[in-house]
Amino acid sequence: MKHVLLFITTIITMVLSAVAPAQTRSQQERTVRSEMEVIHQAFGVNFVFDSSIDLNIPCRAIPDADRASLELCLETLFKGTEIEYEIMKKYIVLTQADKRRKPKDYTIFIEEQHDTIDQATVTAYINRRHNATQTGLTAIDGSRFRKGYAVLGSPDLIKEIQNQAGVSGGTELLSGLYVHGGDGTDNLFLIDGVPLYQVSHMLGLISSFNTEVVDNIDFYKSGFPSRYGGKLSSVVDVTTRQGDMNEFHGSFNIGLLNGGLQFEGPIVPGRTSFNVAVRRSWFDVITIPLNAIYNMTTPYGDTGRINYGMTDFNASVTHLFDKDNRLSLNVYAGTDKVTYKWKDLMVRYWEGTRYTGYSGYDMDVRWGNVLTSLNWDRKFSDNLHLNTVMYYVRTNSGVGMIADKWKMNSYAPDFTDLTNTDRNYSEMHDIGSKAELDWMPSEYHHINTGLSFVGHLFRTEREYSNLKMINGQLKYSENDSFSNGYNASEMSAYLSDEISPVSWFKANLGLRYNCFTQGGYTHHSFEPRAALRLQLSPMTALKLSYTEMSQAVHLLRANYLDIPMATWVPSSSKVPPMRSKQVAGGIYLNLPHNLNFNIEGYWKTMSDLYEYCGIDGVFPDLWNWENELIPGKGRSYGAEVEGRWRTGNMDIAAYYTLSWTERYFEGIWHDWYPARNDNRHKFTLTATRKFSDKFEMYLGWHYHTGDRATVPTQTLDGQTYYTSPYNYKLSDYHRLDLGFNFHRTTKRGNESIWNLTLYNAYCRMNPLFSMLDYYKPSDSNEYKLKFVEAAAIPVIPSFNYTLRF
Amino acid sequence: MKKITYVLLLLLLVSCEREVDFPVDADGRIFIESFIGRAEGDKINIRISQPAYGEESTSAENVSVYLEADGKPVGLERDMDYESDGGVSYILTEKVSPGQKLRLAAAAKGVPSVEAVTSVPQQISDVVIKSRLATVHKVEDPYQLSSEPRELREFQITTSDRLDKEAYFGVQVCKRIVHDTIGRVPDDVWEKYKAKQDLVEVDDLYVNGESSEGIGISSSEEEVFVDFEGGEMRCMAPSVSDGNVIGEVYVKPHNKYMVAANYGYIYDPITETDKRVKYEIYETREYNVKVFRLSPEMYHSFKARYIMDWSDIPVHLGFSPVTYTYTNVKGGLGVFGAMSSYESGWFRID
Repeated sequence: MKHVLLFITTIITMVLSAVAPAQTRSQQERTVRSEMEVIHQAFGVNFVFDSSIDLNIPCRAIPDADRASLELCLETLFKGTEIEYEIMKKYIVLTQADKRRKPKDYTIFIEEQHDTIDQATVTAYINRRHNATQTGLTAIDGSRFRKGYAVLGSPDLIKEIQNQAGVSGGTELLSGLYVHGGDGTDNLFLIDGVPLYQVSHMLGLISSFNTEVVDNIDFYKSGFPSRYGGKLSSVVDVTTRQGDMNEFHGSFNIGLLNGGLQFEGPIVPGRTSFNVAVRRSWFDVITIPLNAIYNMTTPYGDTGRINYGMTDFNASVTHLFDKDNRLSLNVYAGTDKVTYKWKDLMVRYWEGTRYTGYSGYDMDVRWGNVLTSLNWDRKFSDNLHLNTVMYYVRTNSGVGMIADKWKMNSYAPDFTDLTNTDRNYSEMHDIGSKAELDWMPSEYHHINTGLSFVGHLFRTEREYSNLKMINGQLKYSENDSFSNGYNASEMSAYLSDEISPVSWFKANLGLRYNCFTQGGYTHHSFEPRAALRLQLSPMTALKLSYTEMSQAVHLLRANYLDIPMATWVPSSSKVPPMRSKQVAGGIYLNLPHNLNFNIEGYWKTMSDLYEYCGIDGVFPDLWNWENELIPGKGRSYGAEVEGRWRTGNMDIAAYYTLSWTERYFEGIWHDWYPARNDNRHKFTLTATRKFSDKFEMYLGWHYHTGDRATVPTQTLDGQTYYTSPYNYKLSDYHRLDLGFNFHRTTKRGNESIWNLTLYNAYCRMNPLFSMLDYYKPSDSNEYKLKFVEAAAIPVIPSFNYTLRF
Repeated sequence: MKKITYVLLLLLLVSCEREVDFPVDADGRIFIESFIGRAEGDKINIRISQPAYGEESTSAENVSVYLEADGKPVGLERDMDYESDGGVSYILTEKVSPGQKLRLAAAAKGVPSVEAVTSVPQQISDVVIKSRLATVHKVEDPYQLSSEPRELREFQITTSDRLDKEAYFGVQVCKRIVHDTIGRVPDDVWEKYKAKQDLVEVDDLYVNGESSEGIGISSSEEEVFVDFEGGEMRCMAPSVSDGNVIGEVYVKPHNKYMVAANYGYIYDPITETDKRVKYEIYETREYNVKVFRLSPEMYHSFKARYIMDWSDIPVHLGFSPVTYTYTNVKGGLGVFGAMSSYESGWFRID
């Protein structure tokens, strides 16, 4: 049976033409295919078409290409045929005039990605998934985010990944990513090959990735190629778009939470380009007047101010030295800042004299990333390619709090001022480089090898002070400061070979070696990677993979909230790197009528996992953190089913996951117990329908078994006890999201999109957590105990306006 | 930090709530509390807990208990002096040795059977205790600040035990008041001070939470003076230096000082008269340092209790790791642990 989707390019056309016997271009021998060749050579355009289109049909002679335009040639060529054409920059897309047979999928082999046609690219990834040797790969095209639906008015890469099978999202609305039983801190996020650590803004509400500059995303949850390492559970490899080499254009968007601007174009046409994007939240537009109104209305002169701000910035400059050498500089900087100031007016009387002052509280919290990388692509030949990256990444978080008590403007006897200052600061610097060689020595081998080195610098500081003043005189001062630092390095080498001895079988065999050093501690890790693909038929592939991963940096966090008080720390002799082993396999079907259907299963074990066991609920103990981590292990297993059906105007995808995730921590429980995100069933249905060129609609229904909670179920002498961790399953989670896109063309010919989205359209109050509470029945004076599930996220309407120019 | 807690509480207030059926257990659970190796004697205390918030207590009278060490049964004898609401206690009639693996099983009608395993830790060897005066000020409540730095006596306890992952230590320093006399103290006066001398003070022990604690547990929040209840073991985790275990404990220093100097009358049986004598009484402190080596089960149990009591964020909200649920009693609750201990005996510091 034929492949439903075939890769055809003009190069193939040329090859076919070359091998064909020489013919005179008489009227009888002239075909559409031969004339396409003439147009290709005359105008330098490529044709993209489905192989089902018969091109070997007679046609009329086209005008002399030296004197006629491309449009005239095409019109002449296809007039009277059942073939329609569309000019898309350097590509001519051919379709059947009969719409029932109109092919919707095109796949093209092109090197100039910036000229990729959106629709063509999507199909390419579907094929890529089918054809890739690895299991667990989902390729998402960046254009998918630029088309409409946006949670809270901001298209979000991580929330898109949360929909995938095998992924739990954790706390609602946040950017949690619990992949195949992972703990959420074990996902490798890469921007153009460089790791990013702080991947969300607004305490997890939106991700750090500006979708306006995202070109594509490779998301791996199993079958990791050997070039990836350093994290246990998943890889999110984001490639950003380089700027357009020929034209200036950009976009502007504004949503419920933030707005952004993106602009790209040539610096030296055809040689050098830039792409710049900036996003900023606009909470302060609301909070500044609200704060002012509030402060004007407070009766006693108390003042309060709370503000939040987020910005991120992406920039890239790309230069083509020649067709084989490309240099690009990429910069990302993202910052979040929360400030909170409060002052209560204080009035005291002493022997008839009025003294004024205040009690106040100031809090300043900042966190973010800075990333910069220099990337050089060198193509030695069609079969040999070198990629070299040098980068610097800084991740930081800082919390400063100052509390004043009775800060008097003038001092009366026995008046006491107290000032308490607490400042925590942590940062991590990565300086690294890597070189990767891609070599295809023959059609049977595809070798990928590389070396990487990264130096980690971890810095934490804490300052604490207490001042006590009586009558304006400093009577007591206590200062305590602490700083800690670790230098660590990771060196990795990897090698893989994709062997395809026969057309129906591929094996990707690889090994990754990682050497982690911190102080006097050194850890060597050998991580075998293997993936096999058996092509049973053009439509059916069987795959199997085995991977081992390790992670030598750990997120030290006192809670599961995505707050900036967590800090990265290195492995040590007491805290060895986490490790995972995973086996995955499945069957992948490309069915007729544009149907894709996959079934995948996995079994994953994890060792040297850690849970924080200090009493600090917000700031983890930075002094003694090694001893506040309890080691344990985990396992996760399950099956995932994915189906997708697409027509020209409709795209329906469904994902179902059946999974078990468990933990075993001797210091917590004496047996295996379910993990917090042990969601037995997860089902996601998404559908987009394009009703016209001006209107399309999105629908998404999400369901998963409730998260786990730990509730006391036994009591003795008034003390409560637990019969096991996570012994209670919260109510099932489900919600419906609806999105509407209204496309318009402005007077200047630009595209504008209004997106309206209803998050949780039927206002299902899904539980965030559970708790025991006391209540007093109306018919009784005695308080009784009740068990409640608390929810906080109702229906949330949002909008997003995008203008592309 | 408190503000953040308030924000969380505010979230609680504004959030929607839905009352759901409480996940009630059908039965109670056998609750074991046993720390083999205590100086007070090896006991196994057993009670039965109630399914969530039940009012009635269940007697553990019908619980049958079995204990074995390295696969051989260990004799148990009912402690009839044990007083507890529905609880029973058993005393080990045989000594267990360091390194032995203990397995405890208990069963009763109407509740799940339980089983727990622990090992008796090795003895602590080569303990060296040094002390010095240290000046620290660590307070929790800034409103109670004293402008004077707090002088404390630091005990440094060193053992040659190598620290590994499964080594858990605790340190406790007790002090008591003792009285020295010069001259003969009249009996009626001495009775008053003697009564005081018998009192063992185990309060006002200061735990240096700022030190690198090594593997072990803090006995209290790091910046607070701990109120030790008599007899209750509290542990402070040691740090490691050159492979040795080092514990540090701070106590308030007390200098020897005169509490009484007077003349009294003592009956002289020879002259059959009251004889006037001069006497002086000096009060000072003696210290007793205990070092415990704990089984992992004991450590985790103490740690869980500590987190339950002191966690900044209420643990039941589910935003914190569940490190507070520990029990090693399969099918039941409580802890079955063991320890070995070293005791310095009472000594004075000049």
